[in-house]
Amino acid sequence: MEMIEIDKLALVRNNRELFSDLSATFTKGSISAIVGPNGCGKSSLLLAIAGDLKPARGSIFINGENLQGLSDVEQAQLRAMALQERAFWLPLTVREVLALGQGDQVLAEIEKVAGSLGLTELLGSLITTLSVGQLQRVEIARSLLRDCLIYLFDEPFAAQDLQSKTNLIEIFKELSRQEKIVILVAHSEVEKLSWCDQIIQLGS
Amino acid sequence: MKLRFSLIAIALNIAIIAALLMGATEIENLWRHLFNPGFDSESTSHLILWEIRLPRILVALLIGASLGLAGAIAQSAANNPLADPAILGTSAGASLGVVLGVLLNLAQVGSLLAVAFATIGALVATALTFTWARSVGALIIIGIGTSALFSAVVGLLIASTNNPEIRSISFWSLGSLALATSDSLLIIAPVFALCFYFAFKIAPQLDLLALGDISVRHLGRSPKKIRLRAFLIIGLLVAVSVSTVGSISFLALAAPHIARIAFGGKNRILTIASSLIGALILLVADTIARSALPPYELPIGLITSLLGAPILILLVRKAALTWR
Repeated sequence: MEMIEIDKLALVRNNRELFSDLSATFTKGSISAIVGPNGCGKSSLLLAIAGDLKPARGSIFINGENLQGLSDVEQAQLRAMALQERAFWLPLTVREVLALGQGDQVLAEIEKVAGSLGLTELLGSLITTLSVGQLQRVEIARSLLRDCLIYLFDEPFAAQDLQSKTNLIEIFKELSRQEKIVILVAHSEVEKLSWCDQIIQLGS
Repeated sequence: MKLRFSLIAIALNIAIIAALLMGATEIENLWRHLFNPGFDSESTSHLILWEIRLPRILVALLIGASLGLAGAIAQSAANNPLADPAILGTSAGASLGVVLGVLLNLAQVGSLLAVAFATIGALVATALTFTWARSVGALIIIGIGTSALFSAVVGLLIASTNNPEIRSISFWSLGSLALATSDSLLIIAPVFALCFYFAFKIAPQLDLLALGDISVRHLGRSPKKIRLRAFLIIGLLVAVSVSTVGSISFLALAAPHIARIAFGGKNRILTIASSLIGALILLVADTIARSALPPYELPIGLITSLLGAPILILLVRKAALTWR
């Protein structure tokens, strides 16, 4: 079964325990939101699932295999992640940034994905001229251009207007229809996340 | 893009012709000597052209290209516009290597052994910067620290010795292409060719580093390994440059920025453009340095700054709206 299982996970960052004894399951075709107050470890949980943060205790299993036992390449094939913040200084165009590190077969998809995120007109613009919200959508587009089982989004709605938010929700629903596992960190109130299949509440 | 490369090619040709024509001594029948190497081979003109001026022009072009290339790789590898071999400690490490080699009477400035010492110094200093910096963000400040440390040791060694080679070291530490000979070319040319080849090869990997280390890892690549390759290339380029002509300031920082504003941020095109721009600036600077106040030579580092800084400031100001 294609799924992520988190078993009694505890995360520690800068000598501070963020949470402990967290258990959860993320099945394919589901959308999960991680919510909670600032500093409760939402983004850290996402980074742990991405393999960037080692568990202090407990384990994360992907398709039955312990995440810690998977190589960087194996992890890369399993998950794509859109980070919350990113700074660019190089004069690269949006198209160039979207193509970075992607296989040749992906290049044809760029127009389509950019279109779905309202980035078509920006493809030729320098990445350094974009607003925070636009940068975030470029980051999301980069993750969508990869073909993985797991898609992780860190605060995808943070700098988006209402139209873009609605648009993003449709994109996440489409991923779940494609039997992907979608996990996102959200800041919104729980009642606004009714379109999610599961809500993981961290902190009190 | 083709137009911009053509402009650089034209500028390089003009600079080479000017460099051939200018100098403390006027060469008679310059073109006949140039296109007919056997012509009047015993004359002073022949000697000056073939033994002094032409090798020096080639050294200027190759060292300029080496520094331009090293700077471009340094900035991409550190993902920081302030990075250059001087700031990462590479240049100071190379200097310490050469000074130790000379003071221990094991090597002479410009010799193959000096290059070996410089390479070891450059790689040790760069490795220390990378080991001490716990994040990419800390590279610059740790690099400045490493650089200061190594430069201080170089200064103390020079100040506290009465080795007769000290004069050549003092002269060399200011940077001068007068130290280079046609023999130097036998080291400089192959090392540049080798480094350029590998730089061009790893350019697509260097591009990835613009995404930040986490995203590079998410693609299944190791940012540390990419950076290690980059720093081996920088170490070698800077070692050869520092051991043959001393520390030439600013060029490695300015050339890649000028190249990027003209040709964009992708590393394949940047390896070519930054090398060409570095070569052009250093050749022009050296021609001015040796022919402005003959028979004296002006310090080359001052001229590269005087030439490179206004171009850099003007271009960055002009690009300020799109480059932040």
